[in-house]
Amino acid sequence: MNSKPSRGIPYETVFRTMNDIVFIHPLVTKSNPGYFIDANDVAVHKLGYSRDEFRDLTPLDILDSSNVEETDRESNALTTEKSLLFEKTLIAKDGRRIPVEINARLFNYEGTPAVCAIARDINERKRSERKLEQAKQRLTSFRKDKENKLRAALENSILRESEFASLLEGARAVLRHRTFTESAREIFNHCKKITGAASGYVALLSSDGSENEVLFLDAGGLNCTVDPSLPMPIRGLRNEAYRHKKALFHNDFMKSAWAQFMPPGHVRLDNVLFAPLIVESRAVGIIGLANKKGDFTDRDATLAAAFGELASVALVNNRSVQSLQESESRYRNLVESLLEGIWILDKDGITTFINDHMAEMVGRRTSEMLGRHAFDFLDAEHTKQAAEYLERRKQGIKEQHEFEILHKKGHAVPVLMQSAPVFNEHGAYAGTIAGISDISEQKKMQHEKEALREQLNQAQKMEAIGQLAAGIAHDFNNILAGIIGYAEIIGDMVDDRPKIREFSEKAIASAQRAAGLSRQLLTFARKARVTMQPVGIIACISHVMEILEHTIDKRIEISSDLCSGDPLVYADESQVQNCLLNLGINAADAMPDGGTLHFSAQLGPLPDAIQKKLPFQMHAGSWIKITVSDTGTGIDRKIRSKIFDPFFTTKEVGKGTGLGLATVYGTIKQHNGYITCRSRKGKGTQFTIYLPLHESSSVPEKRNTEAVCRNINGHALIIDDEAIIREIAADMLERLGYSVSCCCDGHQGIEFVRKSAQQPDLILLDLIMPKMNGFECFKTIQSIAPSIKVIAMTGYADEKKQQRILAEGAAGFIGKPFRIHELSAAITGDDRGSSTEETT
Amino acid sequence: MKKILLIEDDEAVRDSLAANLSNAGYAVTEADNGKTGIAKFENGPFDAVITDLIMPEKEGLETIQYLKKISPECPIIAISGASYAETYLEIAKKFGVNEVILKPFTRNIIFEKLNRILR
Repeated sequence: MNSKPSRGIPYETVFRTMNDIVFIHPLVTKSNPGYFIDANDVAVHKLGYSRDEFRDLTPLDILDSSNVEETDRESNALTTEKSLLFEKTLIAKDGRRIPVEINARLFNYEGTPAVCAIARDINERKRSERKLEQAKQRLTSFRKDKENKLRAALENSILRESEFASLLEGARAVLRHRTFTESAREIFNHCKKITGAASGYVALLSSDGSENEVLFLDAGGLNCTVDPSLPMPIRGLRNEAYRHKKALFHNDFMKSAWAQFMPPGHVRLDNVLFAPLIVESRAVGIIGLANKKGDFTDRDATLAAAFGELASVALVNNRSVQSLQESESRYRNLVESLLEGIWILDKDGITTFINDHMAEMVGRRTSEMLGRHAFDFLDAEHTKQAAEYLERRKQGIKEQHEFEILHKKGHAVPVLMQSAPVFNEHGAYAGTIAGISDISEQKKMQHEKEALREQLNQAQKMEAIGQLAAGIAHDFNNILAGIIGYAEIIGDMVDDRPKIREFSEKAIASAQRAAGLSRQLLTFARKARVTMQPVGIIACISHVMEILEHTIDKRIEISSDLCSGDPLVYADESQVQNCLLNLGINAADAMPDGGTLHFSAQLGPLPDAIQKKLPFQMHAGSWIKITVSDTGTGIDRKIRSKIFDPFFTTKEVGKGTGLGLATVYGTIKQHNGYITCRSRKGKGTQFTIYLPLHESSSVPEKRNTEAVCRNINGHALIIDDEAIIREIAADMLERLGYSVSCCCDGHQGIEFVRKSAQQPDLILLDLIMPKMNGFECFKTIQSIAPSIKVIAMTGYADEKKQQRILAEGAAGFIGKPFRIHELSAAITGDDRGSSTEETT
Repeated sequence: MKKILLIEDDEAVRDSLAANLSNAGYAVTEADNGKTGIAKFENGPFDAVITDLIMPEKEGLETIQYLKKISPECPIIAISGASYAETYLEIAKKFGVNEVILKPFTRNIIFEKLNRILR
């Protein structure tokens, strides 16, 4: 529009075509107020002024909050810029405010700078803007709200997370600690922290349900001076929590009715929360919390209840663990107290359990065996066996068998093993459990028993031979007597035939040897007469050595190692001598080219090993051990077990009877002794004889008729004309605890009873004696001292005599010969039985 | 000539001992058991009796008791070869026999004992 605008038309066109308000006014200056030159219809319509009215108005009149300065600034800017865009608010005639965007343009109107201002109603836009703004604001607010909510949710979540973490820690505490108190303490601490409580405690309900037994108390740093031994009765809010089995709280406790129950010295309680511990629907304890900054909330109650549940679980858990421990301890004690070894292997044969007893059995510690394969403790042979056994376990077979396990020291330990397979819950083989007993002793005993049986067999064989000998002795001796007799007659009849006479004498000698053999046989059955008395054994051995020195090969050196003194054995001297001679002669025979024959005798106890082997009761006490050893050919192992057999001989026919060692055996046995033989082929043989020592340690003195009182169980008097009976009976009575005196006839006996300062308690009286018979003697003694107990004895069992003497008042009767237990029974009256009843 | 009653059930013993005693100058009457021995003794008298102890019919000990009862002064020698010979002979001593001899014996022992009791 550089051309000069014409009046009317262009503006009219503009006015018509535009929907905006259009004003035309001179540039407002200080000198020109700028009365409107024109305004279009839209302006008239929107502002309510007529065109004419506009001509009386200036822009300042219709612009809101416009002032001269502002208008000047705009005019200046317009002058410079030629056009301006700005927003203003127009004020309509009726006062409405119309926001507009004004596009002002400077133009020359009739030589004067004028302004064409096109004001576009921006009320809608403004409204939209406002709406937008409002929407924006709403959005912001919404976002803020959401943000807040999110933040709150986040915070809540963090809180929950820490609650959750606390609960988790509490749950872990259940498992972490061995005792309930430890678990409860940790659970309490978490609960206290998460609820924000400052103090509290955990207590269990007493068994009668009347009070709390406080496990621990946390006064929260405050000084609580309540006596800890004071009972904490179940009342108040605590009681409610117990009763309703739910967590309860009170946030103004000091004003509650329950505050009165607080004992003096109790810390101030602003608020309290109680959460019960519930086991099997029963409240069994409580977590108490107090003094939270601010108030306890339902959330706190819920949390405390959860911690209470955890504590309950801990309690149950602890009880279970305790019960399990007790049970385990019970089983462990049982397993450990078992005399049996327990050995458990896994499926691969690795040791998973072993009790002390088992380990001890093989000289090891359990730690040495755990984790090691069973085969590590077996020798090759038993490893092979064990592999087979384990295979059978896998097949589900359980069995019992003898077995051997290696001791740490290398020897085998014989055991009895009961083993059974173990299967897991899926039925798969999981290992083997074995109960193992050490049977070393049984095995040893079994061996000993076998040896014993051997001994017994030997003894029985001897007895059988003895019985056989006894059975035939009568006829045999008669036959021999006949042979001898006839041979003697023959000898007489051939006085002039010296050769025949010589033969007859040889026949007699042979018969006499046969008679000797018969007597030897009889010793096995103890039927032959033996004369037992205290014998000095060293003298006896010396005597035998003396005989041997004169009889055996001079190339054999005889040596000895004999103990000092001359200890006594109760023996038949000639039999013992014969034994030693027998052994000496055998030894000499075993050394055809010379050697050493050695005798030794030493005192000492009988070795236990031998005592156990004996087939007969041997006396306790001291023993003499006599050995006869040679450096000869030795005895072959194969025949060693037969050497004591009767008729067994290695000598040439005619040289030995085969009864030498059998007789030795029989004699030693008869003397309550024991004989063993050790031999090494080519090295020599040693016989060892154990004989019990006679209890009296000194060489026997001739027994005095005067009293020799030792007063042990009593004093006994023996009246017998036979010295040997006196000796034997005295020995027995002494062994029974009596001091003993002896008299050799009835007169002496009566004198003794009459004059002795100490009357005997017991008299052993022979009924058949020369000078005065037993009956007379008995009567007299009875008249002097009727209280003395008299046991009658006789060598011939005459029933009538027995009856008579008992009827006369004798305390008992015993037939000669007798043994110590028979004598003892007679004294105590155990043998009288019916005969006593008949006579009293 | 001293008269001896020999009571012995074993024929060989009796026969041979009787022969030996006869040869030694004794008049021997033989009996093969205690019962006949007592009967023969009652037809005595005898200077001595030699008797076995274990015999059928009448036991030696009974015989001895009886003989000692009817003729306590007559000396008796008891002989035995039984397995309990020593015991029997001991008992026989109690019954009053003067001497005891174990079987088997040589005649010298018999002669020695006879000499002792007949002195």
